[in-house]
Amino acid sequence: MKNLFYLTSLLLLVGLFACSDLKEQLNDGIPAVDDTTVDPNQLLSGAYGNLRDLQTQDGFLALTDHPTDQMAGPTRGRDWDDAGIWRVLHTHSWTTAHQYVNAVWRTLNRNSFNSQQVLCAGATGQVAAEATYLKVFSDFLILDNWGVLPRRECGEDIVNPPSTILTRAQIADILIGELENVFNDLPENTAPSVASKNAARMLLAKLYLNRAVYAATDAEGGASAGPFSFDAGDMNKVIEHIDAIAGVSLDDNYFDNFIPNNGTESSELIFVSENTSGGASGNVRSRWFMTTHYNQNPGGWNGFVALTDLYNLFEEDDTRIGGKTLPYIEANGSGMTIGFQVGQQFDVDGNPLEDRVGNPLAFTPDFNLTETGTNLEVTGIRCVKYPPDFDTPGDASDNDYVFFRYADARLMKAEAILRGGTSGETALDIVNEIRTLRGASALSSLDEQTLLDERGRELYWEGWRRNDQIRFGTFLGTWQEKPNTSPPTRLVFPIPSEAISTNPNLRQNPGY
Amino acid sequence: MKLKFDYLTKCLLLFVIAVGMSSLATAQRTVTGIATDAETGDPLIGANILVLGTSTGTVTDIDGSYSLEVPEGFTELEFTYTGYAAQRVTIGADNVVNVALSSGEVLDEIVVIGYGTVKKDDATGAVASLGEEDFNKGFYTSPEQLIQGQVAGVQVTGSTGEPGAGSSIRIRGTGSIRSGNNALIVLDGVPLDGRDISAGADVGAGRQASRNPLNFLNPNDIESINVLKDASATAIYGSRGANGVIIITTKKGRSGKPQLSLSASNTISFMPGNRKYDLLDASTFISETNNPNLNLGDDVNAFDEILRTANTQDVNLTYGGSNDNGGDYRVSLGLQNQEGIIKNTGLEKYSGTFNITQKALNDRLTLSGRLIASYVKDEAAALSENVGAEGDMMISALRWNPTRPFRNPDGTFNQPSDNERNPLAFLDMYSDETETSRIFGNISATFNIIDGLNYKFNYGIDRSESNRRAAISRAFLANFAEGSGGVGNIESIRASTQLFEHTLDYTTDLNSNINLNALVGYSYQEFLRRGSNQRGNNFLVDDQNLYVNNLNFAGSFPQANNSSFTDPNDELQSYFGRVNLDIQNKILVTATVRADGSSRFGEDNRYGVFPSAAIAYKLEEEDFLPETFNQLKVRVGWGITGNQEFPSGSAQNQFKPLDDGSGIQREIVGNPALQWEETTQINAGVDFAFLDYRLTGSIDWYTRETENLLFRLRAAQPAPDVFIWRNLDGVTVENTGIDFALNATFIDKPDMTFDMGLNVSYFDNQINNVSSLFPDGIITGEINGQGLSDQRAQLLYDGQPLYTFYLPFFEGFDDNGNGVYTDLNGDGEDTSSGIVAPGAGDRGFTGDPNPDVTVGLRSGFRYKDLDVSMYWYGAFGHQVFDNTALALFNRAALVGGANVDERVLSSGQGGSDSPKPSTLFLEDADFLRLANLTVGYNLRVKSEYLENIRLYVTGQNLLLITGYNGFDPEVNVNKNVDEVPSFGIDYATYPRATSIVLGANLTF
Repeated sequence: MKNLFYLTSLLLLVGLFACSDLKEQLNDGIPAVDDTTVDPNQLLSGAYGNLRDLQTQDGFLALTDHPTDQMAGPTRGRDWDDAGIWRVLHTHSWTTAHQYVNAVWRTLNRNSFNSQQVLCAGATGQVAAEATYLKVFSDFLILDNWGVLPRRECGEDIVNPPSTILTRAQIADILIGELENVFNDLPENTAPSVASKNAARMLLAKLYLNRAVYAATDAEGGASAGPFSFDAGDMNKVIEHIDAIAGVSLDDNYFDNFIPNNGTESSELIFVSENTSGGASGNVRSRWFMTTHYNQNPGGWNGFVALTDLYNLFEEDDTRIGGKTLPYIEANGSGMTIGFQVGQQFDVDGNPLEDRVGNPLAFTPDFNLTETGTNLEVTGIRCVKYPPDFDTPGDASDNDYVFFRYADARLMKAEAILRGGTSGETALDIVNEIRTLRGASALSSLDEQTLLDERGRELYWEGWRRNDQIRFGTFLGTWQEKPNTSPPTRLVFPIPSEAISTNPNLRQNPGY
Repeated sequence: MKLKFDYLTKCLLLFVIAVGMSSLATAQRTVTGIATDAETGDPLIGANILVLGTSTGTVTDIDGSYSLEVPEGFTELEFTYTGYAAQRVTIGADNVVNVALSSGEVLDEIVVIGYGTVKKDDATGAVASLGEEDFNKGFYTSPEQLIQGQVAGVQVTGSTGEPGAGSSIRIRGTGSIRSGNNALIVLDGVPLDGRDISAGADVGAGRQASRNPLNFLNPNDIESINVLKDASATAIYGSRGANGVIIITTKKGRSGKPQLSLSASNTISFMPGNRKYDLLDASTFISETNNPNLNLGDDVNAFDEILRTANTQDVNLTYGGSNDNGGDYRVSLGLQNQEGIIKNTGLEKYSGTFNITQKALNDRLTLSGRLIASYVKDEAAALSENVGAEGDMMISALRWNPTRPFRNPDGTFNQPSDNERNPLAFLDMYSDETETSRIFGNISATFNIIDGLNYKFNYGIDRSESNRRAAISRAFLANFAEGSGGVGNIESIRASTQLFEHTLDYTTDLNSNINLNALVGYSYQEFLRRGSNQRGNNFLVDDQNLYVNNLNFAGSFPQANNSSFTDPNDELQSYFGRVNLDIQNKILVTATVRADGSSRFGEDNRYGVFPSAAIAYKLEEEDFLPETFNQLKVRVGWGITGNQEFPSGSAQNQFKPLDDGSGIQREIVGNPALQWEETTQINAGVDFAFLDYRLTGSIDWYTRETENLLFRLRAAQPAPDVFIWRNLDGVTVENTGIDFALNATFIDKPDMTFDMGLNVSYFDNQINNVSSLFPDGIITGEINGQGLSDQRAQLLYDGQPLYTFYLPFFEGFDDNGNGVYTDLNGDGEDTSSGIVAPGAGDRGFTGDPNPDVTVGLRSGFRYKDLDVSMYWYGAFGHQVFDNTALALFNRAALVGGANVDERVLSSGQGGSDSPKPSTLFLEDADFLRLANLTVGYNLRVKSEYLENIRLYVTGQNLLLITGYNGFDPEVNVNKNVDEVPSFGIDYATYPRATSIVLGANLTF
């Protein structure tokens, strides 16, 4: 009995020892008890910061430029095969597992979510208006690329799939309404890195201009290849919003829009993702690394090329073609020219450069999507749209990444007029105003094709080509190294299968 | 800190109460006697005597005699002596017990199980026990290497041949798809935190492999390693027991007179010549490239330039003994200085241990404490697990144009371009040093309350601090993400664990037929982990050593890489119990249960309960079994165990700053339902011994099924771009297998012994139902290299083994020398680039890296003072993907001026064929390795001071029989994708050395 007594009393003692309630304390994060835990201002800064993820070469650019008549990523022997991940973009044969399509889906949706978090945190006034702008900006890009938009309410449990899925036909109107609601709270035109009234006018103009495209659906409810019936009222809205853009003007120096200190030097910028030299910065460096050869300065990855079709659109004196170096580039010991690079390349002293196997580094207009020859390092025209930042080594370059600029706005106005809008200006005058400024001869007449070409010359490699080609009805066609037309399926990207596996309510786009 | 003091005071209180109870002192009697050798009649000096059921004991003196105070109520003594069979004797009325012990039989071997020990003969679970004599011979830096290949069902795979490299330790296959799969390591009763304790940030040449966290232990200090394989044995470790448990016990002072021993060895290591790739020499390169631009006039072998013949010293000093009160002590010091066979790599280790046991209060209180302190310095070269097109030092050396001089005429390094990096410049301009200090200690007090009832308090602490300083000079030509101004990086990680544990153990005879042993316990363990990273760029000088010694030489500090973290506090609170019944010494029954509460688990699932049960029947005790059987024990066990290896904080929503400090965002989506993953295992086995124990062995069949698998799923957008930890519903992993072990003694004479041991394991592993949640399967197996961005090689899919390779099928090269791949889906197009669900694209399942069979073969021969032993192990029926060959060895690379393996010349590949992951680079990885061969001689010195000198020579990795073309088929480079681990991919791996160890052990 005595033993039993000891045993039980000890057991009791041990039992009393259970004194930890196992409450987990977060030490390096803020517990998100509800959506209002964090100051909306900080969340808004975060949402702006998220835009930087759209700058790398293996993200947004893969969707907006590679599948178009402006850019390709040829395979060069042991370089750039990546099991065809770039080639399938150019030939429109991507699958539901394309990693860059998946990554951009997540990035844009994440950006939209983080913008909405600002609102959920109780933001009001200007903060709420800027956040709404950022949300609509991301949602517009999701609409444009996938034709579908999943949405959550504030306070939803993120462990579960989102409550709402908006369909292609309804999204544009919803976005327009949301943006118009907050328009008056947006700041007047400050720095282009801030969601200003100008930025909102531009975004609204984009939505109205493309509204007919999103409204047109095929028999299965998917995207339609057109032709689209543009509504004169929509076009007038485009004109109205663009006319209201204030405080910006076309810049005399085309490449000032893209140089390292473009944020202050250019008079044209409306909305950018701001990069700070050596600090908060996206990987805008990839914009020159993705195209330059290893032996150039700065040396790159010898990758993407501009299509000859694009290069041949330019007149010789058109300043947008580049072909010259800039004083600051020379001062940094480089002979690199900006814009299009064709033929022999030189160092700063004028000595011809060679490729890695000793051939002259002379870029040829012709290229094959799969290069096989001994000249595989030098085929294809290169294009340096963003002049390199030499002061910031590494990928935290200073060049702000441009989403909206005034030349785009003016060309959109010309297009709206061409598509039935009313204005005191003519579309041809607007186009010629830009052409004259850029050193090209004035056109005598304007039709859809010449306007699309002009948009190509002005806005090449800036992320709008896919959107433009779809609206102008040429996206499914053929061009250099894209020998086959594509089915309308390719007007939108597939919903990533990993997205469908986490959200069973998402329906795959027809044809995938 | 408050919490811990609370605990400490409470524990002390409990302890004082327990001691207070001891005031009920009981009467004792004095037992005397003598222990002798049964054959010769010689007295045995230093034999151990223990009063069964207590911790009271003593040792025999120089005449073999002893005297022992036996508390009232205890009636049995146990005699043990190294090399002799233990004996239990009941104390007679005259209080004199004389025993004659027989040598040769090791039947009464004790195996360490969770929270206790059991006679091997009485074990009911699948448990393997290895003592020092069983360990692999030679030079090792980490304890798991001592048992590599020795235990059926235990697969230890060194990730690479680098000194200090980590290992994967798999017991009975791989149960999880995401979480930690390594076994739980319990060191002297303290479960270790299995996470990496050193850092591996990328400073320009890819991610560095993490170091082996077990390096802090000196193998020389290890007494035994016990492996608990089945759930009936591991369930006592509850939510951490699913992957098996390895219990490491450190040495204590031996009874007898104090003994001083000194051991020293010197090791020469080199890369076995036949394991190198057959790279082209300069003249072949010139004739094959046939491009005068690529003939740069020199004749060099860059790969040989980064290799060296390495030297390793190992010195250990030990002093230990026992005192009159049954206490013991041991002090040891160890020094290891290991050079790697690649220049600028190596490991220096200093370790010290102190171990003491003291008895008090009439031997009813046993206090013991131990302390292990170690300092490890790892020196690393620019070698990486996942370097891309630009290449690390290994890649750069393998592909260096053999005609290109390393230096320019002016003596500077010849650095042609960012992806033709100079391997010698890497040696000169990259430095990387990790210092890790670790202190492990535990104190325990065992108090014998009454007859058969013992209370034990155990406190353990394990604390490590690791500091890595890595830098690459601005003079090194490279396009780093941070520019070409050099990188200096200082990273530190601090990790600590504290354990408080109370157990109560009670042994009694319920009646004349049934003996009961019961254990109950409470344990509380707390884990802390924090770290920081400092990084500078754009340095003002070339000398990279200045960068990390004075970071202010940097011109800028990238915010995203200057960071710190402190993990959420992480606590595990557990209650456990075990009952052992011994019925007529024939039937043994064990049942255990553990309830684990963890702060990591979501609020909705704070506690998990893990039960087990096992029964064993000793048939040899039955009359119907012929005498031939010395042992025939049948065992059956069942149990549920868990795995909780997910990061703390995963169950809670969190806001965190953006890396560049530009704002705050939602970064962790917490899952409040998050819990452990659960493995159910059934084990059936037989232990047998025939022919006077000349032939012994065991065979075990098991099946384990894991459900509620822990996995990270992407958040359903719109949401933060993060993963959410979940327990997968319906997806299961099954492992079944057979473990077979056989030991045979062919000769057993005083002058000569010869014995062999064989273990064979069969594995079968598969994952089920993946497609119900992941229509395309779960992708892993990252592939790296030029033109291979974002390529993957493995897919987890329904009914397939884990880490099955999922690749295009290579058919050959066409007339143009371009690769032709099977059009599996018959659509006439090559759609093998992206991974789509099986059946839809042009990829198929082809082989897996999990061996079907592993084999270990041991053999020992002794003639008088000469002994020879050797050890082979091998694995069969699995494949390894050679990412190195894929990335480097293609005709296009040669045309572009890079060196290649000779295979390229005869392959028929054309200069325009792009590298593509396919079955071409998947190789059978069957191998058989002569892991070590030792010849030793004991010089029995008749000296006043010196007792014995042992001289030995050991060859390690002397022979590798394999068809694999890479350096070594035993390889596991970390190629995870989104943290889904991979297995069986070889990439720019540190080669495994062949070593010759010359050593001497002196006993004073």
